[in-house]
Amino acid sequence: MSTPLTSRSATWIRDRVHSGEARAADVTDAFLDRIAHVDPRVGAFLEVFEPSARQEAEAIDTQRRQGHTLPPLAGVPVAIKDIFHRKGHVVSCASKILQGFVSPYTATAVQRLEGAGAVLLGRTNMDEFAMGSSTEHSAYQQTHNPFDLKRIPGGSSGGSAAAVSARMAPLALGSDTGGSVRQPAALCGISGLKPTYGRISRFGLVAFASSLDHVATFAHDVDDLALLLRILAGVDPNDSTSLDAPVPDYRAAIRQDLSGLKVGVPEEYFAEGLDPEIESLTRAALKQLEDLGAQLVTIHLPHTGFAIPAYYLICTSEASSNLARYDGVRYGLRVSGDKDLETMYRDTRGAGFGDEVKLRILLGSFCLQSGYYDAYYLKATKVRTLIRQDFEQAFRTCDVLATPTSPIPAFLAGEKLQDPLAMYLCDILTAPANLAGIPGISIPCGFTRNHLPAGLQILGPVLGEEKVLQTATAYQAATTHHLREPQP
Amino acid sequence: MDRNIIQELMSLSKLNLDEAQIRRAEEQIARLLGYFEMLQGADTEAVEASPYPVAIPMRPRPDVAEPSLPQEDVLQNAPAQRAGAFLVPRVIEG
Repeated sequence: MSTPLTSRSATWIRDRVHSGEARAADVTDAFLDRIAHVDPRVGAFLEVFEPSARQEAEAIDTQRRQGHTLPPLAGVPVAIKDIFHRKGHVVSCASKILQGFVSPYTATAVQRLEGAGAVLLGRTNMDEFAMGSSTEHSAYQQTHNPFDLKRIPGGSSGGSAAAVSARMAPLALGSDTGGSVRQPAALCGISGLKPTYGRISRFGLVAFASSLDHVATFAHDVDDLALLLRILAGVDPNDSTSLDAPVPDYRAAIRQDLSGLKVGVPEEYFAEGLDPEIESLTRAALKQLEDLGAQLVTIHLPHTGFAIPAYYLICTSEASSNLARYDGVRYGLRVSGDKDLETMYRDTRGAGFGDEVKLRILLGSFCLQSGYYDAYYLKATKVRTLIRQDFEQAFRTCDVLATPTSPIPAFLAGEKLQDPLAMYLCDILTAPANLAGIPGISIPCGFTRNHLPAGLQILGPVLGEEKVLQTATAYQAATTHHLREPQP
Repeated sequence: MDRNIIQELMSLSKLNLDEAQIRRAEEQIARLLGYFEMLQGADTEAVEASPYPVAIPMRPRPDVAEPSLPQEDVLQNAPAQRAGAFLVPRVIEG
């Protein structure tokens, strides 16, 4: 039986559109059909861009017929998280406070996809304003894990992860502030990459926590992630935190031989709270890396235990500031516009934000008050320095680090909703990389007895994406976990 | 964490909570702050704060005016507008 087109990688699709073996219009039709059949059960998409996707595909086919050179992602369908601005399209961050908001401009990452000839399929579900680890905090709908529809897909980029996992898109954009691409990638059995902070411009990414937010990506395999990173990376005058560093050809840099590669294994990432099956699958993956020629080195990241409190103190503080703009004045929901200004602000924000967003805003406001600022926010930023220094020390002796991505597999919907702290601890293995700004990837490394995916996380030094991608590629070349598809 | 602190935070954040949300916030914020107390165990004496994860060099640009968003694009999502401005409730009393 031949492989369905929707199971093919982005690179495969792109190559066949370039050669003329496949029409972009047929590719887009196949994915739109897949969405129509599967998404009623999965709930990944908030909106499918059906007329515009077909028009974009037709434009690619016209370019080809006219003999023009096709761009690097020509005809490849991509889903985008409901957090990226795209001119003329709705962006809501899965919140009622932005219901119906139409963007007046396009995010740099989305512009680069458009310029590369990608066909944008739709916007995907997420936790409201990226605050969550299960996509259950969306104001609009629930997204289900394609491997077990009773379970969550992870979050906050759960819609994008579910879309790629269920083969409704070969590529998707997400955002990763504390693990929001790597964790859902692990829980949905796909590959997810968070690059170095500033590697991809945040212009047009709706801000949650500006020092932690990263544009990040999903694909079936590492080769596609490398292809996508080359297109998205690069300095942007519209984002003063974007890095002015050369963008290598990430795919060309990938070797499959890991001889001489030192892989650090931090003991603190194998501590209490790690599910035994996840630990077993991760250690088997580490053994596989050894078999491929890597040398495993036990290391310590002694301040790991402080990462979650530091992360949540910083992100809630920054969020309380970033979300102050949603006040009913210039856009979005307005309530009590016939009362006084203060009432309008409070009623609008009270009606427009969900419970988790409100909790984080209150927490952040508390931490930034004078009298508490030094003990909470300032303290957290100093702990951030210690965590960054732990990684810098580790990378003096190791090329990359390898850890589990998520301490637990996908849990049942509703299981952690009443306990924010339990939900926050889902980020315990991913948030440190956001604090330090280092790149990290999650790739499938096996399945539990309940057939739930597990992810192996590879971390690299700042601007060390090539080493991360090389390690991950070698692992995928020797394994088949990333090829297993759910049957939602 | 008590009701008065929550009310103060609601005022600072310009955020309304209903009674059930206030009770939940009291309990959840107290629990979270209790957990965050572990941060005080980190030795940060003589440690510089890191507001950003990586060093971000300043990149000044020429002092040249560049195009901004057209007014109609800026106003297209306005809940209420008049004469090219966002219409809001009276700000100045009297």
